[in-house]
Amino acid sequence: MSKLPSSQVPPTRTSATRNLGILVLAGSVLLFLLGIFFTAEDVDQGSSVRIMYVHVPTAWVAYLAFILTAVASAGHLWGRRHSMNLDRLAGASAEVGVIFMGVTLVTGSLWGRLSWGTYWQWDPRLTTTAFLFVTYIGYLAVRGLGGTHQQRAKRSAIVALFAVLEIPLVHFSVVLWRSLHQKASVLRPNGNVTMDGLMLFTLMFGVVVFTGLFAWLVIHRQRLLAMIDAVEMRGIDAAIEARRAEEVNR
Amino acid sequence: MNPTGLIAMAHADFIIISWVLSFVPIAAYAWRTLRRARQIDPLVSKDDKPWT
Repeated sequence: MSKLPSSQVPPTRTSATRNLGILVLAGSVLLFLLGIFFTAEDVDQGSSVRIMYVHVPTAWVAYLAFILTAVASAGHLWGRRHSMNLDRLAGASAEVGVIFMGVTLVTGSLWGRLSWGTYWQWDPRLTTTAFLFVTYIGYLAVRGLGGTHQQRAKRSAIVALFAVLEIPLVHFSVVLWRSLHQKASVLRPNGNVTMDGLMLFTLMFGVVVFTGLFAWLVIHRQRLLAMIDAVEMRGIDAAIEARRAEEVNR
Repeated sequence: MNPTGLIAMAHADFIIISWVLSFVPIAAYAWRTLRRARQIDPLVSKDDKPWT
């Protein structure tokens, strides 16, 4: 395999992320083959069940992303060093989570058109999911407000700790209210999973692939955010230096 | 295991669009992240990239 020139190698890449990327790529191809060609049609849903192999994993990984955002935010707020790495991890995880949640909403909408005859219903699960999505867009907007990096980290950490409280509401919305959305097929309280073996394997394989994809994206994004912060800090340092020189010359 | 023919699959358009709309935005986001990292790399010192 020929090596890329050093100018073309992404600066956020390491051998570990490269290997993870290759695994995720191969896994995605296998997931596509399993989901589209090898699994059977569902008795009730027919062929539309094939959308579930991307819809469900992206939803679960989006939850994981938002939980990681909250955990990293708590670590930043209450950690002894108020680590900025944790703040950037929270930001990167929320960004990727928003993309995954967007994918969940779009694929769910397409599945709804086939199963319910409509792209959208103001159903408890759909509404709470849309609300969660908008909340994290708000979180990203809060991160984009002005101020120092420390101010950004503190205010966005507080927002993240409140926003994560919505996840149980979304998950249990199908139980708490009368919902058009089907109840859990895998994460059931009685642990009784009524799915065909290969369908269940494909669904779980999808979760593994999307979790790997999430990890790859978050690592690269967190490193990019560190680079952006470093450039901004250098800009601030240069401005302070220039101001000092101006004072001395007066 | 009986591989299903895509042409014979009901709602193949919806299913393929769902898969495309799942992977394309994620791939675009990944590409944008790597491109931005390459763009600002000359401005960042080695000390600010402890993973390298």
